[in-house]
Amino acid sequence: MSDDFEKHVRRLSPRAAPTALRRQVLGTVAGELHRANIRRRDRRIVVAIAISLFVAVAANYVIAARQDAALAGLYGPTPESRQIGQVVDMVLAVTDAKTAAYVRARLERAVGKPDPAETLAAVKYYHETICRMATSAMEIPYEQKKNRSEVGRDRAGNPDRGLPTTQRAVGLEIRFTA
Amino acid sequence: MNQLGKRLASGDRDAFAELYDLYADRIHHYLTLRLGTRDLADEVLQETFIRLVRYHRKLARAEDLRSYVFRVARNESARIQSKIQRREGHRATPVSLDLFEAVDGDDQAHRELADLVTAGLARLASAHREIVELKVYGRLTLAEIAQVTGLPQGTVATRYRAALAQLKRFFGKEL
Repeated sequence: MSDDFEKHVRRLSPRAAPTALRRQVLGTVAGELHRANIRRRDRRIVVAIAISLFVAVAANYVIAARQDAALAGLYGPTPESRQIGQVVDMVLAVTDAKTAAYVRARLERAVGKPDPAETLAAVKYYHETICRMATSAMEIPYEQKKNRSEVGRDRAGNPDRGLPTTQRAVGLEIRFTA
Repeated sequence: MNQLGKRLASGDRDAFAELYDLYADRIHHYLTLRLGTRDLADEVLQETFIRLVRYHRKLARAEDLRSYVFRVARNESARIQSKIQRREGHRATPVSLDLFEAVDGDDQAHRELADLVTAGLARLASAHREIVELKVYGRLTLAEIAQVTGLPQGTVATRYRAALAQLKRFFGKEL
């Protein structure tokens, strides 16, 4: 530092902050700290509520899963879907038990793993198969058809408009004209 | 120093009182020189402490608490300065009575010297004046001044030397 400047500066004492300012500033600091504590407490409450909501949802999921497992233990596995049962019944009506079991397994797998591409392919395949089987089935005489339990009275129709029973069984009430 | 930072970060009220006693006078002098009046310096010093309280958790991570506090004060003063500049279009210049204590009996030579130093500081460019103020009255090192101003340390040293040379010429002419 320049000697002159240092010499002059040392002879001067810088003015301090006003005495009253200390009390004022520290009062403001105390107020701000108090407000910060309140804000922190409010934030903790919000976090606690969020955590308890999350815990409640998670506990609900766990309890529901345990209850399902307990019910499965008591009453056996979850019953199969009604739609699958209907499809399998239809397949059983036109084919044999082995094919029906195969169809059931494929459908249950498709329901368990709902891969859209696989499900669509399976539906298309079974639709075509059932249609093919239905159209190629032998026509059953009206008298015989009337006595079959799976054919409803209203659907038995008249002798002159009889359709192949297999078509009725799979719900394909199409009158072939050609 | 780091202990004080941790106490400040935990929201200890006594730690803030300690911080005030350590730095308030020096910061107030720096702010008076920067802003031109003691009233504005009072206001900005208070704002500085409010800012420090609002972000008190950061104080535990401050490597150099002294330069950190000066930097906060500098930022607050820049904010007020730009507001005043917009409103009034000019900046007030401090008088020697704002910057230096009057001695007993207020001897004439002492008062003239205070006027001379104030005038010397006023002649400096604001960037140079700030560095001289922080070094001489703020008692910061060049490294700390570099942290406060955001300048490279070499630039701070160069400007400080240039400012001293200018002051030396001024005093040589006046005394």
